[in-house]
Amino acid sequence: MTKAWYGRLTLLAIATVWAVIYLLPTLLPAAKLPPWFARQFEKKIQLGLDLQGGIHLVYEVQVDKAVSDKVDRFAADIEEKLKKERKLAFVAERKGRDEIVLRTKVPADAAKIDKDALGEFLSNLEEVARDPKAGAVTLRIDPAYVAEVKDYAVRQAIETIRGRVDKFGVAEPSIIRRGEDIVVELPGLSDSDFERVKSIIGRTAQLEFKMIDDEADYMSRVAPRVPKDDPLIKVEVDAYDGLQRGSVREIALRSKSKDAVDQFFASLPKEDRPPDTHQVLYSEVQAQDEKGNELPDKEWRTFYVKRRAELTGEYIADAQVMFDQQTGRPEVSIRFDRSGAEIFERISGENVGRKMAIVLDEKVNSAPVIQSRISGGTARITLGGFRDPFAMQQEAKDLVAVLRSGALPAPLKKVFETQVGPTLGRDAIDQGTRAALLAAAFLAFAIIFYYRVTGLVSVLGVAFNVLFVLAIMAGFEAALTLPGIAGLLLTNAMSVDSNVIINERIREELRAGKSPRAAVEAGYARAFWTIWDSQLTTAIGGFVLLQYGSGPLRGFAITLLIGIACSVFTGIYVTRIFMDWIVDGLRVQKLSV
Amino acid sequence: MEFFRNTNYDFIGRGRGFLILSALAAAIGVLAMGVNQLRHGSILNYGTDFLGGSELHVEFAKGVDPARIREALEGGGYSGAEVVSLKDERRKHFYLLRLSQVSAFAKPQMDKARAELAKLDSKLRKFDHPEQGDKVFVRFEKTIEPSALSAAFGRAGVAVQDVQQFGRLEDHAYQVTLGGLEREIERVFEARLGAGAVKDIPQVESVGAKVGKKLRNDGVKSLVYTILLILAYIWFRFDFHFAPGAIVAMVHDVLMVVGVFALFWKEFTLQSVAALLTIAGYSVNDTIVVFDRVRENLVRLRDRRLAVLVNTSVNETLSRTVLTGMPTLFATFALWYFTRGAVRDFALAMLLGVVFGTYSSIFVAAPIYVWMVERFPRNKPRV
Repeated sequence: MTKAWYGRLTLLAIATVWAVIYLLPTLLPAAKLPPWFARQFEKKIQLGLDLQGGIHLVYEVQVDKAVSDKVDRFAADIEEKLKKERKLAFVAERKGRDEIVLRTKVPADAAKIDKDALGEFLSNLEEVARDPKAGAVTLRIDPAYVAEVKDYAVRQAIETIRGRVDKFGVAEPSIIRRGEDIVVELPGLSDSDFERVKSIIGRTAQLEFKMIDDEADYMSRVAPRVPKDDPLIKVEVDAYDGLQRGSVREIALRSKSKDAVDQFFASLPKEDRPPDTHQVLYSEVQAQDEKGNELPDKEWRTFYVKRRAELTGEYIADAQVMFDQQTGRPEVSIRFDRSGAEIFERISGENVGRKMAIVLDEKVNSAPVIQSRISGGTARITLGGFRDPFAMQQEAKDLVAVLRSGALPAPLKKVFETQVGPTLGRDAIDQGTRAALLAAAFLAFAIIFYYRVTGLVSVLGVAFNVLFVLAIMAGFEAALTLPGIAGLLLTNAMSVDSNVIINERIREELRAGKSPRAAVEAGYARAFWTIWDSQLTTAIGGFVLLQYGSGPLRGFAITLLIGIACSVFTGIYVTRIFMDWIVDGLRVQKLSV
Repeated sequence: MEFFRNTNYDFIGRGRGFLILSALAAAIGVLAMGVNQLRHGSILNYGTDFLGGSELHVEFAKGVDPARIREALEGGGYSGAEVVSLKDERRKHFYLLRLSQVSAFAKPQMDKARAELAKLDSKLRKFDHPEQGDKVFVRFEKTIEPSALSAAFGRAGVAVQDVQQFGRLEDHAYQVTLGGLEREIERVFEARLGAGAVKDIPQVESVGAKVGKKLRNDGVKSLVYTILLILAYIWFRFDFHFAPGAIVAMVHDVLMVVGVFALFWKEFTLQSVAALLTIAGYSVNDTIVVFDRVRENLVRLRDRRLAVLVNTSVNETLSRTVLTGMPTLFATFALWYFTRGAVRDFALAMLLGVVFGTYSSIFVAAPIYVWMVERFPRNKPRV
């Protein structure tokens, strides 16, 4: 045998050992494997919902939030439009869930807010009250439009969840709508993965940019009410350079306990709570000692912000994981689309010297002072805390995934979680397995009967094919479902086909009078392009599905592509090793084919 | 051992006949879809995956095999149900059932109910049944007795739980709450699993489809791109004359299987889609091997007439075509023979796919290639 042949045999041996190692966790329970092994190789083939069942989650879409957000948006748009077109001085505020109150500075101006001024807004809003003395106009959102917004929120939430789950790589979840609820079913996952998927699904990923109001006297009014000797809450005065605004003082509360601050605000009399137009948000920050040195503990710091978001995550064009130049910490860089970039430029220009809070899911991520008008439309989200860099990297990746798939249009509330059995039913699965084993046995028998020794090599090749496909699937933690099994069946048929094509070629070459060795040589050489073309044409469908398909179509595509790659490898490369050994090593005079 | 050595069957000579046969079969399939559209309102018997339906939580009095539940439902006219065990601390034999059509709220029955209402003394002015809702809103010209309303629904086979007047009195508007699904399902189980089989049905709700619009569009888009790319690849690796044959053969095979599903009103699910994708893959793969031999013989047997050359190529690869086809056929046959329910329909699609895939390479793809060359002769001599 040649040196090259030993090389090929070694490669096959390595691949086989690797495949067996990857398959062991799938075949044997973790308890039966040595602990060091089980820790190192934990990936296994998951059985899909149809074969094994999984976890059944019911989420309620909090559609009322979607409606109030929409009303907020209308309020902002009306304010912008009327200020620009009619030069009216007024504020627009949401009242309750459905209403907007427009309050003019000069009561007489209220008369100028008429049908003509409101224009297109009246297709979704109607005027319900008018108080000329106070200069107030109340608008209410149309109930039919409310229903539309709710329906859209649920539909959008389904698409978003699907996108997120697909990005996480969970093969073949089932996501269905049930009224205003969404039922998500996930196949069996490891506990840690399951927790991660749940947090990704449930994350609103609502990114908002809100202005901090340091001009209002609210905080300076409220802060003195914190008892001097309060063990938990401290009052902080942050003086910063507001550029042309001069030095600015922002008053904030700090505490180790968020609940303590919440309770403090709740204890205030009603007139001292934050007004409807404003809100108090928190940020998780590093604790500091008296000299301002950072301590390892975490603290909560308040921000008094205008409730209305100047810009939201809706305008995000792309998000990426980046590393901070100085600290090397992972952070997420976001890029806005064109209209988002325009808004960002405008608000940054109007608010130079003010602090803007970047708010992610109602938590202030950071609050930089705007130094100048910002064009280009990019922003960064930092990940706070001294933590394991690997965990931070993971968090950054998850954040990118949720920001890219878009924010949920409304928060989700998990209302139900349970385990479900397989949709196909145990009986069907058992029957299917029996049928598949029977068919495989018959197949092997038929091929060996027809091609004799060469047939044996072919069966060996197909067996290697099954081994490699399953091992790679385990490596990807792919889920095996009935459609996936169809893909497997197809690729195995194609693997058999490769062998048949080669064997038929060898026969033809033998018939043409070639020696066994020359016939094998020529047979493989000539069969190569046949196999290549036929498999690649089939693979085209798999590539396209992987690119454009989602959900179950992707699972099928992955199985198909893995199967095709393996069947080309085993058909052309692996069986050749054995055939060469028969004609070269054993030096048979007559090849049994 | 060897089959088909030096055979010389005349496949191409009889090509036209087989093409006509295929076209006829395809026409029957399309016709069946048309008939379905008229009779059932959709071309295929789409399952819960596509249409949605209703979801029931059912607690049984004692342990029942999911297979028995499915059989009982099938016997009661609720075919294609999804039965899944649910883990619950307080309920022991707890199952989640997903049914494709909700019989009481299904469209044909609602149409019947509407016709019955129109027969009442007062003129029916409005009949509104929001999709898959369990309520119907009706308006009449004159006042009507709630009991008469219920009776009219009853004549259409729709059980009514409650009738309530709403709006202003002179509107004569009524809200009819349809009941029935729980009771109907309970009745089915009592009849087939013994009295007292059902302990409780705590939840009945309508659910949407698993396959949303996006998923469906993705599928269609993938199909179009796949066809275009395969055309381009064959054009590049073989030549232009080969491409249409492979594509027509592929579409032919998929169409045949869909046709069978339409003809026998078999439930069409996500799994059927996977089967169709597999069939498309098998079909192309099978055709390319035959074409590969034609390509080779274009050089080797340059002096032959094209039809003879193609025929020889088909004969030369016959052994391989049959040898690959037979085991695959057997595997899918075994899957079909030994299984029931969803897996069986799936296996049937695959079984038909293998038969048509093998047939079309010889009887569809090859003749179309010959026709293409004759119709659009090449300018340059063959290489």
